[in-house]
Amino acid sequence: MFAALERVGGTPIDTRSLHAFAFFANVLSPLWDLHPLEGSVLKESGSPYFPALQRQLDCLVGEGFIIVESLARGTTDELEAKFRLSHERAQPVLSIVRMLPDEASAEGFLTELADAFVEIRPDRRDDAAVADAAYSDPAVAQGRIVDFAEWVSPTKGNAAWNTAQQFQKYVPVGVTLSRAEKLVMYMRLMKRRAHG
Amino acid sequence: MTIRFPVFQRLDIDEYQLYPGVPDSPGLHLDFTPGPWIVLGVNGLGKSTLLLILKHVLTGPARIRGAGFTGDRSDVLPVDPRFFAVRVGDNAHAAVATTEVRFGSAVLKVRRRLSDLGLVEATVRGIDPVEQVGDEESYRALIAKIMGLSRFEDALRVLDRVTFYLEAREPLLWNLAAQFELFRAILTPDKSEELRRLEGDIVSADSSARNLNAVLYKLVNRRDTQQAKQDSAAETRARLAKATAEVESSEAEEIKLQHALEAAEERRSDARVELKRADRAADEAAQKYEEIKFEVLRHAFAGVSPNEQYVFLKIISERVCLACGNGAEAAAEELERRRSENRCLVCGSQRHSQDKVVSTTSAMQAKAAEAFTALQTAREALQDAGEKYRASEQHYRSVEDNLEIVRRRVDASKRDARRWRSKLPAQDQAALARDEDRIETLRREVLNFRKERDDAEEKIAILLSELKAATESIRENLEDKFQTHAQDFFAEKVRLVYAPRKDRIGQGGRVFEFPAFEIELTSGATGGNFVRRSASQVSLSQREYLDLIFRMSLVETFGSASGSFVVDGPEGSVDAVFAEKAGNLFSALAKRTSGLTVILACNIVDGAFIPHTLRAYKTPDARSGRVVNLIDLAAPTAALVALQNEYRFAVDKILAQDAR
Repeated sequence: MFAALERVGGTPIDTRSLHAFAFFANVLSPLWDLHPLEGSVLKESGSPYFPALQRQLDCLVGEGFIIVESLARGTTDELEAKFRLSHERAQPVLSIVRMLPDEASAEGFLTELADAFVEIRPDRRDDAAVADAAYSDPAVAQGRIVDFAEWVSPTKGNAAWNTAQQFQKYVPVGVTLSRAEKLVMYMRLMKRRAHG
Repeated sequence: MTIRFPVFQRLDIDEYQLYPGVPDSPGLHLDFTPGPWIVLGVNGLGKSTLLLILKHVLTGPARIRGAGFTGDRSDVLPVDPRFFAVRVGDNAHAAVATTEVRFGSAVLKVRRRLSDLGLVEATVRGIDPVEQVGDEESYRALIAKIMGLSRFEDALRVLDRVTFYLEAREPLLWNLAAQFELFRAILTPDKSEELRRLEGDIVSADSSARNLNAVLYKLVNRRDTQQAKQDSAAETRARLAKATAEVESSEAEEIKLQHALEAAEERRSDARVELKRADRAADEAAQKYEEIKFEVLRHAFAGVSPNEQYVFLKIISERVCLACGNGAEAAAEELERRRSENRCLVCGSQRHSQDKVVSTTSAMQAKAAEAFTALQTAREALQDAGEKYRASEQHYRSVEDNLEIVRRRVDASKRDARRWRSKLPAQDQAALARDEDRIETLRREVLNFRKERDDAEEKIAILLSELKAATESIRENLEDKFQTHAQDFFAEKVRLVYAPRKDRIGQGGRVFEFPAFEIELTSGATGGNFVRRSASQVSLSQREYLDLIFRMSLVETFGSASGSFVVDGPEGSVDAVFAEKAGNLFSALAKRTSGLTVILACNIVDGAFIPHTLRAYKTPDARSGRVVNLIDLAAPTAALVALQNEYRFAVDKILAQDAR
C-alpha cells in the first residue's frame, strides 16, 4: 500500500487516511480477483479502522520500512502521526515481492486505487470511506459489523463490489468497462459524495 | 408516514352497577385532557375493567390473534361479548358506555351496550361529510380509515400493540413476528393486505405439501411393506427395515443438529461483534495512554526524530519492541531512567541543564495511571472476548462437522434402503401398479403445492424488500426517540438497534429477512454492551419498561407525538428507586408531547411513582384533578367498606405529596 501511495504522491499519509485507503483496498480487491486482507470491520461513529493493520504498521516502523515523518498531539486523545515509505530499506524487499505473480497483480490494483484515492481531498478521505456502499449500508447499525468478505461472499455479499459492477449498465451498448474503469468510477463517486 | 393514533377525550359509563358514581352525578363521566391521568383504586374496584371498557367501546367485541405466521386463520378473533355483563348482578341490561376519541382532526363518538358490546351508534365529526354508522362492519372500516390504515385488522393490531398496555399484553420489542406485523401495518398500509394474503398462501401451500408428503410417505412405506411381504427373502426384509429405521433416526438427528447450528451461529455472531469492539476499545485505550506519555516525554524528546520518538513511545507505553515484537521491559526501564536523569534518550549522554526535564505534575501522573489502568482492563477484556469468540467458533465448527457427518449418514442409509428395496420382488403386479399410480399423482400434487408456495414467496420477497427499505428510512428517528426516553430511565447504557432477522414463513421454503429492532444493554457483571435478543435476558421491570419506551417511541415517530397510552399497573414492576424514574418518564413524555394523553391504572401505593407522574401539577387540588378516584366512584368492595377511612387517608396523603 505504501509503495503504491508513494508512487502517486500520496505520502506522507496520516493514520485515518491510511485506514480509509486500506478499507477501499479491502472492499474493492475482488475487482482484481484478489482476496481482501480483512473481510469485515466494526462500524463506528467515525471512519473504518483496522486495529490489526495498525499493529502491522507499528511493526513496519520498528523494522525501519516505514518512517514516521511527523508526530504531534492531536485535537482528540490521539497522537497524529504521518508516515512514509523508507525507500532505502524497503526497495530490496519490494524488488523481490514484485517478482511474485500474485503480488505483481496486487501492486497493479493498489496503484490504480491509490491514483484514484489521492484525487480525494486529504481532509475528506475518511468521509469517502464512510460514504462507501458497504460501510453506509443502512441495514448495519452503529456498533455492528460491516461484513464484505468474511462470512459473506466477497462479490455477492459486498455492496461496494456490486455497486462498481452496476456501472456497466449505464454505458452504451457494445462498450465493456475494464476493472480499472469500474474502480475509478466507483472512487469518483465516493469523491463526489465526500466533497459534498 | 403518519398514523392517527387515538387520543381519548371523554368516557361516559351509565347504568353500570360497577360504577354507581356520586349522588349528584351518577355513573362515570371522565374528561381526558392531554397529560397524565391516574385511575386510582384498590383491588377489585374496577381499574382494569375501566381500561378494558375504554378499549372495547373503541374496538368492539374483537381482539387480534397472537403474532406469528399463519395460514387462512382470521387475524380478528371474537371476545366474549358478555365480559362486562357477568361482572354485575343485573347483567348490565341497561348499561351503556360512550367514548369520544380524536384521530388527527376527526373526532369519533361511539356508544356501545355493555350487556353484549353491541354498537348503538358511531359518528365521526371533523371529516367531510360527517359519517354515521350503525353496524359493526361499517364501523370497522371507519376505524381503519380514520387511523390512516387499510384494514380493521391493522387498526386493532396498532391499538393492541401500541396504545393499550393492559394485563394480557403481548410483548412487542421481544417478538419478531409482532414487530413485523406492526411495521407491515404502519409502513406499507397499502400492501399490508397483499402481504398477509401471500403469507397465508405460503403457509397453506407449505402445510398442504407437507401433509400430502406425509400421506405419500405412508403410501410409499405401505407399498414397500407389500413388496417386502411378497419377498420370500427374510434377510432382505430385515435389512430394508434396518436401513429405513436408520434413515428415520438419522433424519431426526439431522433436524436437531440443524437447529443447534442455527443457535451456534447466533452465538458466534454475537461473540464476533464483542471481539471487534474489544479490539477497537483496546486500541483506543492504548492511543489515549500513548498520548499522555507523549506529553510526559515532550522535553525528553527534544532533538529526537519523530521516527525514534514513535518507536520509544511504543516501547515505553506498551513494553514491546516494534522491531522484533518481543517484550522490552528492560529497554523501557532504561529509557525511563534516562528520561528521569535528564539524559539523551538515544545515546544516554547527560543533557545541558537548560534541557532539564520539567517535573511531571501529580495531575498528569494521575491521568497517566488512570489511562494505564483503562488500557490493562481493555486488554483483559480483549483477551476474554478472543477466548469467547474462539470457543463459539470452535463450537460452531464442531456442530457443522457433526451435521455434515449425519447428512452423509442420511444419504448412505437412503442409498442402502433403495438398494434393499430394489431387491424385493413384486408378486401382485396389479396392486403395486395401482399404488405406483397413486404415488405418482401425490408426487405431482406435492410439486404443485410447492410451486404455489414458491410463486407466493417470489411475490412476497418484493413486498418484504419494500417494507425493509421503509423501516430503514425511519430507523434512525426511532432509535433517537428511544434513546431520549431510555437514557433518563435506565442506569445502564441502553440502546435500540435496528437488526433485521431471518426467518421462514412456512416450515419449509425460503428464509426471508424481516425488519426488527433489538436491545443492547450494559451488563452489571462485565460492563460491556450485550445484545438482549429475548425477554428472558432482562429483568421484569427492564422488560416492561423497555417495551413501553419502544411503544412510546413508535407513537412519537409515526403519530407526530399525538396519541394515548393506556397502561395497567405501571407501578407494579418497579422498585422504590425506579418508581421515581418511572413517574418521571410518564410526566416527561406528557410534557414533551403536548398532544399525548397518558392514562395509568394504579393501586394506592406509597412511594414516588404517583407524585412524580403528576409532578407538573403543583398543588394537591391540581393533582386531585388528574385522578379518577374509584374509591368515590366505584361500588365498594368488602375491604373498602371495612377500611374506607384508612384508604381515603392514604389517597389524601399521596396527593399531598409533591415530587422531590
